[in-house]
Amino acid sequence: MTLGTSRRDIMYGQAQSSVVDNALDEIRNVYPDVSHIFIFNQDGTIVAFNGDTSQELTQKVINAFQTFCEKASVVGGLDSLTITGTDHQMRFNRIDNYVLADVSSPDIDEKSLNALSRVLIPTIIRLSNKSQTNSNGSDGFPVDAKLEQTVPPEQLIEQDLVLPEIHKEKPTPIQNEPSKLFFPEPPANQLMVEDIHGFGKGFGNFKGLRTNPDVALIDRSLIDQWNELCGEKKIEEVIVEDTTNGKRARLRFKPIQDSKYEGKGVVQLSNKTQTELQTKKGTLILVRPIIDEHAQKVQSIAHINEPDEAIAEPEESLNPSQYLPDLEKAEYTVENLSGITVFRKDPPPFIVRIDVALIELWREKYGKNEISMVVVENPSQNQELTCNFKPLQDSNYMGKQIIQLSQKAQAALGVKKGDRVTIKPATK
Amino acid sequence: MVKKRTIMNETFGAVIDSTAQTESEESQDLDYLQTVLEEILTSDQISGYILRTSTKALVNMKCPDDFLEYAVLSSQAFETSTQLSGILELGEIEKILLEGKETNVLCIELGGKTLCIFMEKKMDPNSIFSKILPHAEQTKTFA
Repeated sequence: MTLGTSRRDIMYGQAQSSVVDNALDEIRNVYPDVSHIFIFNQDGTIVAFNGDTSQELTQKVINAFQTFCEKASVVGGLDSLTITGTDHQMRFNRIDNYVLADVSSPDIDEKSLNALSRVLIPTIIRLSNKSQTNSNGSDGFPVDAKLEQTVPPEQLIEQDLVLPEIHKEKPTPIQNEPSKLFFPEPPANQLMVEDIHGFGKGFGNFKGLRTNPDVALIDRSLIDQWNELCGEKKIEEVIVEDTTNGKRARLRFKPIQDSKYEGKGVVQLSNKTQTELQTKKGTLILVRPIIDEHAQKVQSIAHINEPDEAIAEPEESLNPSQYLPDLEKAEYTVENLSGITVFRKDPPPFIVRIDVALIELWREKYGKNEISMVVVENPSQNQELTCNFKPLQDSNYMGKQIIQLSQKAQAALGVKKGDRVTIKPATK
Repeated sequence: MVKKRTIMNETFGAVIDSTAQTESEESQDLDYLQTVLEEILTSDQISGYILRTSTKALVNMKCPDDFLEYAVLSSQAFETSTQLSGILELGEIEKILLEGKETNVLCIELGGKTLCIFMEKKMDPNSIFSKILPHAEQTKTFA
């Protein structure tokens, strides 16, 4: 209801108060049990009221309420007041700097009334304020002081100068963001430390030869779970952390080969890694996969939290040359080869027994059928001897850069036990 | 927390209702109501209450320091409500709920007696009212 150019219209703008008046009228249409509804501000000025409510009556109510509010300091100020009479109930609800007052039937649905007074009306007021602020600045309902602060013209000029720089930045395409935003955090699994005994196939008792100390062996089912969780993202490394001392290491990982450890909730770690983590077999540690773009972030965090030595950076790849001699020409110590070959009637080719790991590496490099013999060379006399070869059988010689030659072969080559010789594969 | 219980005679506004209740009946009624209030007061979230009859006021506040202010507030609540009821035709006042920023106050008209219960904000005033309600109905019927 509009009462010509009243005080409220001068203060808040006629169009604005009319909008809220209409909103209140509409609310009364929706809630016929509401007989009076009006809004006033803290100093008692009427902001809006519905059509059936006279301004005089409204002002009387406001005065009574204001008087009561003065006594309410003992309860920390008044948020709401509900008076239930036999015929009607009246509610006053404080909304920011305003008070919404309504009179309704005592039988009105409480939920509807709450929705009205605590949701709908505040929303209308705030929207109205915002709309008025946007269009006329200070002409709407009173706004917060911080919104009313004006920016000096010179600051506006500075802002204008700065803004174009900001706009020059190319915005990140939105479609790229969700994968980063919603990608699940890598799960951490608590696993029990188990010693690592080596891995690889076909090495019999020599499994330890190829054990990379910077590899963790993890249950295949767990790896599958990680892969399932991460979809196309690659998981190539894990962070293992002993939570008791906070030590962490970043390792490559492979599935557990030994079936007795599968499904037992263990992670197999090398002695080196266990030492770095200051942990041991039987300790529970956290294992967390590093997922693609998380990798850099996780590494950074780890470096912040821990000294450099806490992170055991993995080697680039499994490189046999780091623990095996040159494939082309390896130097070995001669050891006697005893056995039935001594009594063989056949002359050369002699047999040389060499490390099975070396044989394996040759095969990896040249293919299984390419290497038929090896050339043993006595570097001091430039003597060469082409021999058949077989793997070492005496475990005492394994992994010690030793080859076994028969005494006849030693004589032919001009060497004896303990001398150094080189060997290289003789390819077809 | 110090409990202070005071029974005082109203210095003004005393009305002797000779038409409905005898003194003994009023006393029985008051005893029953007091029992209910004592039970309510066992909750940690209830700060206290002020019960006014036509001749006296029963005050039971866990923290008596603010007693006077609470008494003024509760009295003003009924006065303002009566005033507003006259303006807006609310009818006879049954209940007033005042939600403060720190404390809620539930005021109930009990057939010539007025009861104000002070409670913490997290306390549901409706649960208190439902405990008092049977007594309120009984009092009304009796009156």
